[in-house]
Amino acid sequence: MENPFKKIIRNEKLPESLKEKVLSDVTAIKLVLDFADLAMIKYPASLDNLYRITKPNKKNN
Amino acid sequence: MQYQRDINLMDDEELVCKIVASNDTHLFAQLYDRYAEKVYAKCLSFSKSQVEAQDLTHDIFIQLFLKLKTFQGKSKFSTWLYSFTYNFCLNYIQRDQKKKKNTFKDLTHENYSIVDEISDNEIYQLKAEKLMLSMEKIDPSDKMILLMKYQDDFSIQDIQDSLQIGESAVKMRIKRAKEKLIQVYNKV
Repeated sequence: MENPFKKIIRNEKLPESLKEKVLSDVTAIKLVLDFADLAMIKYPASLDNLYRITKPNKKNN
Repeated sequence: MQYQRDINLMDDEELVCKIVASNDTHLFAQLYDRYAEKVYAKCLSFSKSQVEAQDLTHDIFIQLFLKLKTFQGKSKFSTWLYSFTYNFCLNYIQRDQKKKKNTFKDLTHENYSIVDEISDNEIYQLKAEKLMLSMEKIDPSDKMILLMKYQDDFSIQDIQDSLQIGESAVKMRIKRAKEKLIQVYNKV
């Protein structure tokens, strides 16, 4: 016996413009996430490292 | 060329792992190509127009990019994605319902006759056109569980994972959803 739920699936084409919009929004989100990662994690971490490197040098002088 | 062939050969789970590791939009585009129309078909069954379904599909794929790392591989990726899609559509409808109260007819207070459990055979005998009309009239949460079970062939375990409820609660919800469907079907 055929399952009627399988017959009511609507197979319609999606416009190609939707794919472009999704991918451009994903790229924008990725950029924001990368920037946030840079500003909130990587940049403070490198400042911290720089501080640690320069601090003993001052003592030596 | 070789790179594209490698991507095409990857199974869904491998592709998802690579997207999570690299956030590569090219790989995400591949995932979109594989599932966009299936997701769109599900959105169409929960929305009133093609434009609304396209907006839902767009929002689902954006959310998917952000939530992909939560996929743990307990079930097939397609099962996880369909569950994600249903939950997204249901949240959207319920949010909309709160704004325009009583858009859907509330059947919870109607008197149900006590009937024996409706068998799958009875469900398979329903006419597709009438079924489609009936599905539009039942509560979206009942529609969701019926589509999971009969259209996407989710196991009870898959539905449990998707709705985060126990086995007996899943069985009870399926039973009630079938009763409501048949009741509406007989009136159509």
